[in-house]
Amino acid sequence: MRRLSPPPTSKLVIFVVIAFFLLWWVPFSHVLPEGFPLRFGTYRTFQGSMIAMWAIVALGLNILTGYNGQISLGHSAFVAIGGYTAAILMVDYGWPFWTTIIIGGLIAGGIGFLIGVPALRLTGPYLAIATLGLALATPQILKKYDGLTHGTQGINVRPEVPASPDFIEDWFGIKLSNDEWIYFLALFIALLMLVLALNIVRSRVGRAFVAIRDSEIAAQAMGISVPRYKIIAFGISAFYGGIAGGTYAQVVGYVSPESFNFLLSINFLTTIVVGGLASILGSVLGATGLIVVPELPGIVSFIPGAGLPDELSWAFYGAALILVMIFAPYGLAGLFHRLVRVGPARVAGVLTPVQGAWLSWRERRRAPPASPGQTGAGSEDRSSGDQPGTE
Amino acid sequence: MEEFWQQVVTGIATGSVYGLLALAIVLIYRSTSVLNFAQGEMAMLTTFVAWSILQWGEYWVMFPLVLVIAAGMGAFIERVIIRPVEGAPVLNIIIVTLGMFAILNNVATWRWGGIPKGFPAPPEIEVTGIRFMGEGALDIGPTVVSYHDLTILVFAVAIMVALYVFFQYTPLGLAMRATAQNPVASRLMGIRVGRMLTVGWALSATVGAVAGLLIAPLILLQPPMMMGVLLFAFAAAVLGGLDSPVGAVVGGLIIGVSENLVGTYTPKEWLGPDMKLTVTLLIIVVVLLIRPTGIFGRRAMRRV
Amino acid sequence: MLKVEDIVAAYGPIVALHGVSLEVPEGSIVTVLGANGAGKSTTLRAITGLLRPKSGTIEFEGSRIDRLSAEEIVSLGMSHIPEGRQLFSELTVLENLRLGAYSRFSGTDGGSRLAQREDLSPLGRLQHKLFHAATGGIRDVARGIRGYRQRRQDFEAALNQVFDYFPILAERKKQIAGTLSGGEQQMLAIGRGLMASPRLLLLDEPSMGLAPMVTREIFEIIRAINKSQGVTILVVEQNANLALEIAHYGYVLETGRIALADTSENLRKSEAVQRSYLGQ
Ligand SMILES: Nc1ncnc2c1ncn2[C@@H]1O[C@H](COP(=O)(O)OP(=O)(O)O)[C@@H](O)[C@H]1O
Ligand SMILES: [Mg+2]
Repeated sequence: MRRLSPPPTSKLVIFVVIAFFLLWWVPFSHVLPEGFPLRFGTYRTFQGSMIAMWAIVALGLNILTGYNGQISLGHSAFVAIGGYTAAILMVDYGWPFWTTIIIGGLIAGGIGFLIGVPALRLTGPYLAIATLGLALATPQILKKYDGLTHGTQGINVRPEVPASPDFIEDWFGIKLSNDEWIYFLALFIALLMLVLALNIVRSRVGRAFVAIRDSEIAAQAMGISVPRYKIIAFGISAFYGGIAGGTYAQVVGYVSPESFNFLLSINFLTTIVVGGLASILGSVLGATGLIVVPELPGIVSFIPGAGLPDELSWAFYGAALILVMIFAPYGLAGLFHRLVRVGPARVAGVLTPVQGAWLSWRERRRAPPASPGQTGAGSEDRSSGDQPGTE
Repeated sequence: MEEFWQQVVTGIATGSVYGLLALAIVLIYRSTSVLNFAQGEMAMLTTFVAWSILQWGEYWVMFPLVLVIAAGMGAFIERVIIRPVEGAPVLNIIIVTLGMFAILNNVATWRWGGIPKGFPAPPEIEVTGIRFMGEGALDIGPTVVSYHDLTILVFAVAIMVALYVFFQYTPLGLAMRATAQNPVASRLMGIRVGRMLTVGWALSATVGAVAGLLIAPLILLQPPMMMGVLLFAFAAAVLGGLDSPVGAVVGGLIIGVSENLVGTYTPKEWLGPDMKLTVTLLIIVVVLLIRPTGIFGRRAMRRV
Repeated sequence: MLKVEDIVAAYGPIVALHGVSLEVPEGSIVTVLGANGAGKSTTLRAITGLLRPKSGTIEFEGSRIDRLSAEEIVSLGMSHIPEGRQLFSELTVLENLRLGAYSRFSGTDGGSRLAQREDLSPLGRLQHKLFHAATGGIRDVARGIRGYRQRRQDFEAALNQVFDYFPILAERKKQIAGTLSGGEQQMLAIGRGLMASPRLLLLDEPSMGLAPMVTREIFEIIRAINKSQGVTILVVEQNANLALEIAHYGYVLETGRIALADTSENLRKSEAVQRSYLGQ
């Protein structure tokens, strides 16, 4: 499938610049006029926090699905476990927020390990649907056993969510609102998890994951214990889900059974495929895309006359998904890497993403197997007579 | 005891609908290894089209018309949306079907509105003194069955038999099975593989459309109506084995019945109707652990 | 009957054939010999349209076929029995044979398309394509109904002929193809190819993975098919001994180029062939 070379330094630099920009943009964006798309009001700040939380799940799911090849449609369950653990410990037991996030992650991870064992027997779509069952059952379970979970009404965490500590104002001279503080908090957690993920996928464990994904038989022949690593992947991935859940509780300030319905799981899977499977960068890009794209019709409507009817925003989102899959089969990360390869000068200004997509499309139409590392399935047998453009 | 049979009979009826949609899913899965998440929304959309046709036409005029429209829609989707990602990794194609899900759902809401509409069951027909379909219920000894439930069951069985005959005895059906197994060899037989995939999608959309027309009278016509059905249909398809049409229908029946029985007969305190979905799913997972490719599924063949 | 001229074929960036030319006269058996990876299978794939050649021409019975698709080429009267047999291993023997006759029943009509498509501009080709898509289905159905009885009879005749060559297949009609022995599978593969009543049969390493006894038997049948029915045969082989025994002409392929071409008699006597391919 994909090559797993570490991104060259130039890419890392770009990455860091973007991260830095995001980090500092939020407080300063107040200077922009009201309604400007890059102005982070309360809502955009909240979205930023959601992107961070979403990226954490995506990193974890990508380790499981992208790197290890096990498809999960049940990650909303792990996020729910993390979120509820944090909420219950904070509200009912008064624990400090950061301990609840860690404990939520650990509990979710533990349950992930346990679920990883039966998951060994299932593959592909069977595993996907079985885990989808987990996602479907979660809200029901949360509603039913209300002694612990407060039932349908959910748990309001808002009063317990930490406010911006004083040292921030002392050191930086900026007074952060609660939302902005949470945003930095979520971003911090996300960066920690990102560094952890980078280390995991480049370690021996990460290479074992990939070997198993590419061929279990070959991995076994290399002396890799297939069941052990598959279970570990499940556990790590669930741990990420739990951490994201704890973060979610801080960001949203409220958890309820319906916060964690199965659609969330489906969106997580979408995130990593759209972002790029087996790609750390892809997880982040996917999370950003998935939070921002459904809002795009609104953002675009800032430009006079370019608005889409609001009631079609979901169709717009669906079309975006399809277009990304057609024009960027390796997701946003694949697109990004391609743009970088084309040359930094062109990336800087000349080559817009649209042009890139167009180029890649033309490339694909012209020569079926673009290059050995690029095309997935053997395309030799694909073109049949009634397909246009095979000549 | 009467309650038991009542639950079984209604379970069989809803289970038949799950089975029909599962059948539609299996038809696509067999030839392309793709789980079509838009299957339910395709059925929902054709049911809305049916509703519009019913504003000026008879039920039995609408029925074949809708099937043709459904087939056309299926073929169109395959040619225009699926063809460009053919040969891409399976997960990519699944995401494309999710994109279609969003589009179809949104378009239906936009065009027909979100307010639930009533949808008629197939009207009564009398053949040689025996009554088929329509309103009311039939007393069958241990319990009564509504005519519509019977209709659903009959349609499900008829479609299954028709598909069996089609795949087993017609050259086109055989060619479609061949394509699913070995596309390259199929081309050497002179089979147009692309066309077979188009036919498969058309067929699948048609079967799905029937499921939509039959379930709409029970659950009201509205854009999200097929979401729950789709999930049960996935579960049914997986339970029966994703490559087995018979398995899809049997899986649907098992789920329909067990869902009802779990709701009625488990302790209300900590399980009961609120948890029937959870328990049903648990049963399915247990079955899968024993038979990882479903009850009728072929064992997965491992390729190195 | 078949004339391949200077074809170049590649898998993505990997060029497998660097200008191969060969000719198969009507009624003959021609063999292409070569080591593993020489490009033998690629040559056959290019001829039957599974792989479109980058350049060069292919003529079958006087008309260009190098721009047609595999499906169209098959219905012109050419059967390709691919390397590794490629049976429909989960279907029964009879179903495999029925699929072999598919091009008789389906509307794929290479001949008529060939006539209409030659020398069309790209726009004309597109128009033709649209027209064909619209009318094709209806015409197929009409033809299907009209000629059904005739086709049925042809099918039965072909089936009986295959069973004459391979009686074992008649016994195993209902058996799942994947459960046949290797030799039986090769027989089924050949039988399936014969079901289309081809005038040209392309065989890719029929001896692959078979015991010497079985191989000999299969080669005898190949010779018989050629003799009694006048089917022209192009057989690709690594087993040079047997291939040269039944063939009239032979080509030797080396890394995508024709290295030698002669009558099989002369090839057998040639020192180079003896050294490299006959192990003497
Ligand atoms: N699907 C493929 N993709 C890339 N290269 C291929 C493919 N099939 C064959 N080749 C290459 O083409 C060359 C010729 O292969 P082939 O025609 O199969 O040889 P032969 O049949 O004589 O053993 C070989 O170098 C082989 O590696
Ligand atoms: Mg070969």
